[in-house]
Amino acid sequence: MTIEEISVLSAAIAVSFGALGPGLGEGRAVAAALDAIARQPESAGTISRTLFVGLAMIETMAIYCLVVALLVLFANPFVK
Amino acid sequence: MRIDWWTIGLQTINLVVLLWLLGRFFFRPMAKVVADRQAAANALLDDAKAVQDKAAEAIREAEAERERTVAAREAALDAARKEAEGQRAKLVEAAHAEAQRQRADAEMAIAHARGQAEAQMTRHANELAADMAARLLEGPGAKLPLSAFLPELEQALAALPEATRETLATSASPASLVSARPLADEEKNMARDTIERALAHEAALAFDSDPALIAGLRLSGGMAVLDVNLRADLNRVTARLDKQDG
Amino acid sequence: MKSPLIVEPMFHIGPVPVTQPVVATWVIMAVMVLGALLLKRHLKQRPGKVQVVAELVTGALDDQIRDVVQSDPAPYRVLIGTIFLFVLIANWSGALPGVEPPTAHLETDAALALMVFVATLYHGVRSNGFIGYLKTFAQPTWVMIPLNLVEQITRTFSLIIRLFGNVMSGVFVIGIMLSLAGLLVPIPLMALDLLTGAVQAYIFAILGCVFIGAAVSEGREAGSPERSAP
Repeated sequence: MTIEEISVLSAAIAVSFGALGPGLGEGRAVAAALDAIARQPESAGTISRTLFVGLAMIETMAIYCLVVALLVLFANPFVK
Repeated sequence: MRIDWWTIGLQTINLVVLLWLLGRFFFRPMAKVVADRQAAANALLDDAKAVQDKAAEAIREAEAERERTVAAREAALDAARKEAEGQRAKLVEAAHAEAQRQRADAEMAIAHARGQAEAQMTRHANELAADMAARLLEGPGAKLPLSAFLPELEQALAALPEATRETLATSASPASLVSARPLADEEKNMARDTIERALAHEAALAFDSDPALIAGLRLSGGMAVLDVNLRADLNRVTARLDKQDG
Repeated sequence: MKSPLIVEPMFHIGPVPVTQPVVATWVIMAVMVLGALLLKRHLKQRPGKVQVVAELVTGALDDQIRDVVQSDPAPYRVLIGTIFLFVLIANWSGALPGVEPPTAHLETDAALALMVFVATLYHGVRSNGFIGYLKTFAQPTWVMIPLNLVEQITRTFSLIIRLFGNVMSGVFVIGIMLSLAGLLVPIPLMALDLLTGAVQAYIFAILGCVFIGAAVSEGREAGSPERSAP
């Protein structure tokens, strides 16, 4: 197995696991937000704004993984 | 991986320039226009508030005016009521006084009438008494002799003023001597003697009789009338009684 | 496939290599400043349609800043507003054919985050004094000093990476899609890209605002609830 093959594999693993956690987290966050809106429709604006910010924060984790994968793929220090 | 430091520097400069430009040409003018509009709106609001305040003031004044009017009307009503009460009291008092006065008048009139009636009754009683006395005296009076009255006649003549005595029973104006019963000649002479003695001159006498005298004589001539009889006495008594009662 | 992490210089001005993001930034700057000048010329007490939209945007910005900082938004309005508008327009410029958004490159994001970092220091020192601002690093206890120092750096890096990753991934995915099926298929992804771009612009601005607000208010109240970000 060459270093390039290992890099591709690790990039795939990084992105897949990086997608898993934030996917679960975002699902919980959206469920909680919908619950809150159903309870208090009058504060839907505040809740959805906070939800979007929170979702972007959570998504950042997946983005970090993506960046790592890209680094592994395109800026791998072990590849000459 | 390679970081392009030149690009970072250029982008930083770019962004700082953009920051300055946008701040200068976008955000400050926007903030200014918004603030200006806010100020204009505030001024408008202030104006409206002032107008509203003025209107409220006017309403308050009108209210106060109305209250004043109501108060004045109530005062006038009060005064009128008081005056009416006063007048009524005065009227009642006047009516009372009038009634009292009328009652007093009536009482007085009643008293007067009673007094008159009493006086009349007294007078009647006196007259009755006089009548009764006259009747009673009729019998015994007729029996009285002439000599019982002559001294008295003499005294009465003596009491007359000198001038009257001289003109009485002169021939120019004869006096009349009235007696209760017709006199006998003897009695006439006796009477003439007595009168002439009292008058100190001759007496021209006309003799007459009147049973109303009951007993006694009446000498009348010229201005003088001398009553020496029971009738005259009775009349005197009755008059004194009347005077006492009246 | 071309690496998204590397930019090649388009041309050189003297010794300075000018890359594609820099050129794109210049174009965006020119568009924004021209628009601002046009708008400024037509500013009226009775606003037209464009002015209404502009006032709406600035008003919303003010409200958001006031919510976060809990004080008058005037000192922060220009910085936060410029960052928000620039990031938004840069993100959306990717929808134009042949244009790669400048924010899809690490250098632009780094410049933006650097501005936020400097502004955080400036406002922290301005409102608390130099010593006072240094003391806020020792809160709640002095044990937290290294952690707070590291936090300053990491949150700036996370700011960079978040924007870069989001925009670059969008561009990257669309590039892959285009290489697979050119017609119509990338359109939903581009629409998603627009949404992501708007949300990221908003998040970048709000996070910068949160950092500045925390630096300003930490001197007053120990422990602000919204201070750290991943």
